[in-house]
Amino acid sequence: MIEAGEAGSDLHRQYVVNKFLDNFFSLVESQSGFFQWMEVVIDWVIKVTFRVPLMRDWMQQNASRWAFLLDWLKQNPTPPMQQQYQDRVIRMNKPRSRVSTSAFRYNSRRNQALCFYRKNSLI
Amino acid sequence: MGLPTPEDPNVKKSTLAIVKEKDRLAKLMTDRPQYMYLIETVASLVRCCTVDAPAQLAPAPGEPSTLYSIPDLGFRLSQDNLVLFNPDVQFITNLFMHAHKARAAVALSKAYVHYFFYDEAGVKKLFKIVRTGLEECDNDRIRPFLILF
Repeated sequence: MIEAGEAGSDLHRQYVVNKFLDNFFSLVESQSGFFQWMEVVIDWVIKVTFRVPLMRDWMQQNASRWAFLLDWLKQNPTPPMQQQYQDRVIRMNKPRSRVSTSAFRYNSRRNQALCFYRKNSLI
Repeated sequence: MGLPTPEDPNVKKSTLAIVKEKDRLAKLMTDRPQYMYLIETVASLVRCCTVDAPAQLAPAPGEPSTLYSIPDLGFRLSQDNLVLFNPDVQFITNLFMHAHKARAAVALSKAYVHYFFYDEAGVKKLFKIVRTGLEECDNDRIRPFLILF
């Protein structure tokens, strides 16, 4: 739809610029408690912003609508640990999700220290 | 049993070929067929259909009617086909949710954007699909909805 708006469809451009992008970022803000979901969406936002001038212009003009993404990235540099779920707002996945998180929890280099602590019962 | 007799490779191959052909026919009769390119085929067919454009937005003669149209064959979706192609939001959401491969999601997205290119209600419906999918799915299933958006 964004591509269609970019390519010159007035209907799509009007809806995307005036309504959909705003709604989209509201939705992203409401789902910001799910780490992996946010990572995928933020990747997509960056990719589309680089590729589509319509999205880029909208983001330049409405910086306040997506500024929460920067705050979120600063607050969540690493995936949350399951043991800390009780204390934290951020969860790895949505409830009842069957997604494997082992790539983050055990195999990723960025979690090496946390894995070490867990294996040695330090946390 | 005696000494092993030399085998005729041609005979063996032909026997194997017959067995394989029998298996293939049996699978066609019993198993669920693998519709590898069904979604892409349907999407291409939809993109060949004529889309009604309002007079002020009508493309010039010779130009494609929408961004994703491929040469117009002059057909329109009948009511029976529309029931299948354009059901309620939840059904289309499920369709996108199960489009695991990116090429299927891209094909579906192009078909729907082509079909609703000049339809205001349709555009809203597509965004509702995106919204529903993003709300309901986790990170492994949201890519098709992002592709549609």
